[in-house]
Amino acid sequence: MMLLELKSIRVQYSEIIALHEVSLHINEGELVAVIGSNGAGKSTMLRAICGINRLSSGEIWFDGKKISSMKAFKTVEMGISHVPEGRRLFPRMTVYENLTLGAWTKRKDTIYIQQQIEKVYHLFPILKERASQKAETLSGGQAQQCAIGRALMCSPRMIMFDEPSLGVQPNIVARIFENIQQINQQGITVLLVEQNVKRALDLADRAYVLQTGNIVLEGTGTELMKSVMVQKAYLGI
Amino acid sequence: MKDNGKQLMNDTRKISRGMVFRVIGGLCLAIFLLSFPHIFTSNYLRNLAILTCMWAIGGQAWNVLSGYGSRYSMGHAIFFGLGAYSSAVLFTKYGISPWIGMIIGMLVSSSISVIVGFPTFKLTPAYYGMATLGFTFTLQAVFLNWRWVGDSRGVFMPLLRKSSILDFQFANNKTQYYYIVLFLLVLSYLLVYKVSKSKLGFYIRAMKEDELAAQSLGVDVMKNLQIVGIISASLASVAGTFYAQYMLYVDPMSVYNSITSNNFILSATLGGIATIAGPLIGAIIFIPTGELIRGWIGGSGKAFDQMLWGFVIILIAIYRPSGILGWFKEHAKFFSGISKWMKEPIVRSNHDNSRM
Repeated sequence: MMLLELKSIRVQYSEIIALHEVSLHINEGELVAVIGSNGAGKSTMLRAICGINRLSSGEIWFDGKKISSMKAFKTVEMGISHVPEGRRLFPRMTVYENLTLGAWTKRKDTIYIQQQIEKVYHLFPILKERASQKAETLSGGQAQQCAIGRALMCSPRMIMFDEPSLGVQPNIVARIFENIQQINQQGITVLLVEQNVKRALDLADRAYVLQTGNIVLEGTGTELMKSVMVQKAYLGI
Repeated sequence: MKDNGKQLMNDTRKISRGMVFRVIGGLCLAIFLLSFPHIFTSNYLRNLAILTCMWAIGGQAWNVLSGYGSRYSMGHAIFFGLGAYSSAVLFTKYGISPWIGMIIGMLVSSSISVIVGFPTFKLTPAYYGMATLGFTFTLQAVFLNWRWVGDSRGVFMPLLRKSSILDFQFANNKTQYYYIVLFLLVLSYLLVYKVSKSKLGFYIRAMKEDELAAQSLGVDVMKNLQIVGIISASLASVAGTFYAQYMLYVDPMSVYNSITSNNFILSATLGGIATIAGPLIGAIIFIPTGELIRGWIGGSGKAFDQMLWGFVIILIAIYRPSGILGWFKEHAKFFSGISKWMKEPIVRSNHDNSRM
């Protein structure tokens, strides 16, 4: 079943066109990667999906409903969660407070929040140790885990990762990707945007290549790995 | 959150030194504040105390939106002026009690805040400041030419020559004004304390830290900013109504003025933004000093205090953005010994026996 569908969306920052005509779809339970270099429009696409950037044309459908004109807080209620680029934690608030904020859409249900926090602690035990620490004191990897935990707090149907390996020390990167896979195995659909092409393709069921605002290639992870273009442009083989 | 609450409840069951000090200190402060006009019988000092409290309310109003919240308003004079004009015009034209005028002023200010907020809250903080500054002078121009509210002559309130709480006018001395402004001050500070501890305060804090992240977690930024804007505008409007009743005269040049907004900004930034006591501490320092400087230089050096305060704002922005209370927090190490000693319980309750 198709969960998310972008129908030739176009996003502009005043005069400059960031996304020309992007169409893609994600089925329920899939792990889909979007790869591309700097400035290809990856982050713009994610921000358009969750309603922070407005579309100039095209449509976005989620779970059979049109969401392209929805405000950001509505799309979160629909079940779309976003782990933004560079984590974007609230630096002078504690880890616990950061996690609580993730459950804004269910803010009245304190029991639910408590249960959800326990689940996040189970997935990332380090966060339990650091619960009362300010988020600005976390290391890159811990901060990323905190951001992922925060995104899980609203029990999303789909979760979008924007460069989760950015600013994380290399031996932790593998663990972050394992976590992403775990999350996917729990039945949450994942949209992963990465510059770490090899790892992303290893992990993904399907993948798209985004180049200067256009989708230029599409296929399963292994297919793309073998494609001449990807090898030349991104893997340096 | 629930856990935190339980922990807090456990803590309150113990009686620590700090609590004893706080209760005694609070009582002393309350007695001092209540007896102030009887200790200091000079009307000059009473006037200073009243002005300080009035600007402290305004400073707190600014602090709600621009200290706790993330929009730096440079035009809180708008709401101050609307509050002043609402009660003054209603009283002189229709004889409506200024207390009702105060509530109407709050409603007018809130609705103007919402209307102005829709386009301007979308701007980044610096541009929001400029927009509100511009709006102050727009309103000044409007009120200068609006015959119904007395255009450039302003509104003179009729002197009743008798004290009446209903008409908000007191003849002979300033004691009653002092008690009223003190009451309003305590009320507004309690309100802001409640807000800062509420969920709304929590979301506002998150939005100040990182608005985009808060938005992508589903926090409705515009709605929360509007609520905070309404609270802030209402408080500034209360200060404005008090100003009108105290001065018994309002004119566009003196209320819709960047000096009014600056007084708010200064009392909050000097004391420490995003703190409860900050605006009060700032006002206590800068209002009396400003008055003294004005009296001391006087005559040709009329605006010298304003120049000095401009300089002080620059110094605060460069060297101590967190204000006076922020300095205490930054030097917490020095004070931690004291606070540790303060926190030690002197009486333990039954609940703690299990832990011992």
